[in-house]
Amino acid sequence: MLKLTGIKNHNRRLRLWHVIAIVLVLVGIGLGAYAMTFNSKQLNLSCRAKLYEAPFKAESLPSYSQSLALDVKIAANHAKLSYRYGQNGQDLAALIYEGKVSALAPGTMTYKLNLDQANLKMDLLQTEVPDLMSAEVQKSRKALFEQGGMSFDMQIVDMDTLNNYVLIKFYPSGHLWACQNK
Amino acid sequence: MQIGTCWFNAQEQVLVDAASGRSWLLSADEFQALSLLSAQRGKVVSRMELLQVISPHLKLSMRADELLNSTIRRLRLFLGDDAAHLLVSIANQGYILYATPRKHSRTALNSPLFKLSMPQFIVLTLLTLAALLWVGSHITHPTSIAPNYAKQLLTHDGHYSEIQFYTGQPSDHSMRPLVDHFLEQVSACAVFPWQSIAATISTDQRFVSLVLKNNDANGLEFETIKMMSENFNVDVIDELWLIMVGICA
Repeated sequence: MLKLTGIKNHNRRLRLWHVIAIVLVLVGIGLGAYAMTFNSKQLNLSCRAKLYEAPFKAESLPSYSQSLALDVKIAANHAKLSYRYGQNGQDLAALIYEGKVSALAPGTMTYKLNLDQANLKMDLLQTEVPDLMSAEVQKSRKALFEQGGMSFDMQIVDMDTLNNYVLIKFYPSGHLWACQNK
Repeated sequence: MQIGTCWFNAQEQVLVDAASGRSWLLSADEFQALSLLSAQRGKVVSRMELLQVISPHLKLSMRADELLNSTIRRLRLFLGDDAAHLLVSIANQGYILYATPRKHSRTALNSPLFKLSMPQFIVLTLLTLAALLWVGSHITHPTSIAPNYAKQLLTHDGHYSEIQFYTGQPSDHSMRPLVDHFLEQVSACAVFPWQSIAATISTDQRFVSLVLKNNDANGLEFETIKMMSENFNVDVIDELWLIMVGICA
């Protein structure tokens, strides 16, 4: 003969709503992680480019190679952009901007940056600032003195996390960079 | 009396589950309630009638209601998983006891309360996880913003490559002649080894940025090229130059 206390184990069976509950929890976790991916202000990108100047003719190609690099580091509301100019694989000058992320628009994947500090670093053996950097320094100096800072947007145009590929574009300058997450 | 897979022995006040071989010794309340329900099986027995047989001294108090509810709950447990559904609650009226299972078309998926065996549960959970992973892999990667201009480039070797132009501003149509001029130059390639090119012309029109991309069995290969000129409109790009910098092959 059995009494009521012996029933508990007998009644423990899995039901369909257990599966439904598990699915809802997993979907919730997935959606949360997906939303965090786009709402996160953490970003650490490394971008490299080869640089060529006109005229674009085979006989005019210089004997040395020129390169531009950009490192983007965003942590919380702090943004740091480091541009480096190099020749034959050696960095000759770097221009480092720092400032704040004023906003992030997840819908368009756009970071709105407000940069108010700029530092120029050069190779000690270099006597002159490369032309490209010189123009950039003049432009940023003017913006910093006249407006107290530089405001621009950085938009993630294409992102393929499986292949560690991020394509970013800057407004209003219109520059495009293919980057890798560090 | 037979109730599903159970046998109700009224003389000994015992309910025997033939499926599991268990015998339940009924309390006075459980026996009275089950006796009344089985005497009127297939018909609604009101709560009032049941209350009168299990707790005549409690009348219509809250405690009597709780006593009836717990009695019905225990009877369902005694009847077991296969026969519990034979004791049916009728909202605002009472209860019906059926002696034999009623015809119903319940399947594993039409009721969230339907009980699953462990293999069914595991299979269903694995299928669900697989479906979630499949959906996740299709909505997460890649994510992209539409270009301002896109064009299929038919190269001399008969292949199509896509060129996507992003201008400095969202609606800057003044870039269009420059874009066309550039496309004409690039289409001179005899062999174009890239599947796609993403390109921008800077707002000051001094820089063209090209991101060349190939995605094949060896994985993703990409390269960024920046071209600098004081006037792209008049520049003529040499095909040999395109080959030497890796745009053409």
